[in-house]
Amino acid sequence: MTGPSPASRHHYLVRAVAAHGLAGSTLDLPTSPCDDERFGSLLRDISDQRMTGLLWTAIADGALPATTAQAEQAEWRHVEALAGSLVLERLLLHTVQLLDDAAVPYRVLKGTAHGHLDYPDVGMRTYGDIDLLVPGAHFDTAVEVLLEQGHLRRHPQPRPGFDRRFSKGTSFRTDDGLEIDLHRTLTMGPLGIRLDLESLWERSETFWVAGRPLHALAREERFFHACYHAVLGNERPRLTPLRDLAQIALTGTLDLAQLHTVVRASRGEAAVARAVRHAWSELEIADVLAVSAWADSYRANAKQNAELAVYGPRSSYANKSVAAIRALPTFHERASFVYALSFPKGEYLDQRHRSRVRRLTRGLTQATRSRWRSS
Amino acid sequence: MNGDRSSAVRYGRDPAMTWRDTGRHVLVAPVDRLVEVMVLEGGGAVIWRLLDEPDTATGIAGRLAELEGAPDVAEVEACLALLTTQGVLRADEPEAPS
Repeated sequence: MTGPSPASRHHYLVRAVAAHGLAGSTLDLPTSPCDDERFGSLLRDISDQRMTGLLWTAIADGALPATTAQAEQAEWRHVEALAGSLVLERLLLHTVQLLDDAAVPYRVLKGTAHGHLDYPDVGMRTYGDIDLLVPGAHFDTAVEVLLEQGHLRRHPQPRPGFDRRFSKGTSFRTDDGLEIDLHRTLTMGPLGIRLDLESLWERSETFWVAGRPLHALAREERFFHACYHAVLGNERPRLTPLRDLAQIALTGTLDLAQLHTVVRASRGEAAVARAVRHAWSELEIADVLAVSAWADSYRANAKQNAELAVYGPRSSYANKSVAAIRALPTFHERASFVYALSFPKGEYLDQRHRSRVRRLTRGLTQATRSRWRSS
Repeated sequence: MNGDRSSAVRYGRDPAMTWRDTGRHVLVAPVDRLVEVMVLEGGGAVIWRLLDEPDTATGIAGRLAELEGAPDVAEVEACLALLTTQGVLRADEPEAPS
């Protein structure tokens, strides 16, 4: 008989680190230090997934045995990640001040907000960029504010007004190579178009950095976003957003009625249920909570499954855009969306975008043909 | 007297500082200046942790003594001076009597 393969043992270990400190996970950390080669692989994967805080906490708590050299490597890797987070936090404070001055409302999203509000120690959650949600009506102003700072917009919008009406958001790079992601909505494609953005702005939660209050989404909305990020952002759900959502669910009190209101308003039940099931399965959480019981019993219909497939491993920007057209509520909006992507402004058509636009145009053509055939 | 006044200086964390603690190292970064993140270890990290509330050098030395045996007060004062010079700590002079 053979035991589990090295790859599967490695993945188990990465998952066990990802679950460290979560009451309810049945994943076990090893009882003796692993060899240096295996530890090197672990450190690499953990760093890639921005989980050095969990690895270092596991070692410092004595839950993950490590040699002195391994412990030093893990702590130093974490120090580097934390230094990055602090530099980003400084940029965040500066950026938020500029948005405040320009009367642009904002919500801090993802790692920064989770670290400060959801983890027992902010250092357990590091991050590699800053993410801000701004309302569509203020999106163009926010873009101007960031451009005035000399930040480089990474991708131009296809046509004026596209961002504030349709796009997920846009990214900026600072002179120092730091990244600011400005979001209008929480995901692209049909689920992003259908998201009830107004409800996201109704409430907020505040955290403090260097004596300054910063506004994040409220707890249930953060959970909702972590779910979307987990299953709609990457081909294979990354462990960090799965941990984020499990962290919120297991260590705080989720108001299920509020959560259902938020999810229902955006018709995001299938995505949220899938994310919760993924988190419970990947992190091997034995505890049954109301939200996990709901996710287990939720059955997506064929239409929902087709929508989720748009975010699947073989999907593309074009697939998501074509699917987004169907989710737009009016014919006028559908026409504007298609026009902007089919006839973009010159600056959008740089080398990087040409192929993307070609693919999208092909995608749009196919969508149009199939509609004609079915009509 | 000068000696009395310097011993009454209260040291505290600069509030315009964002920071993280790994348990071994403390990382601090001022939010109002573009300087590199500073990494404190040893005595510097311990002193940072002790300064939830501002305290005098004598008070800090007393609390250090409870934690890890009587410290060299001159060393504590030198460390406080260094951290203050680097902008990590703030030193508030006692108000002069009117």
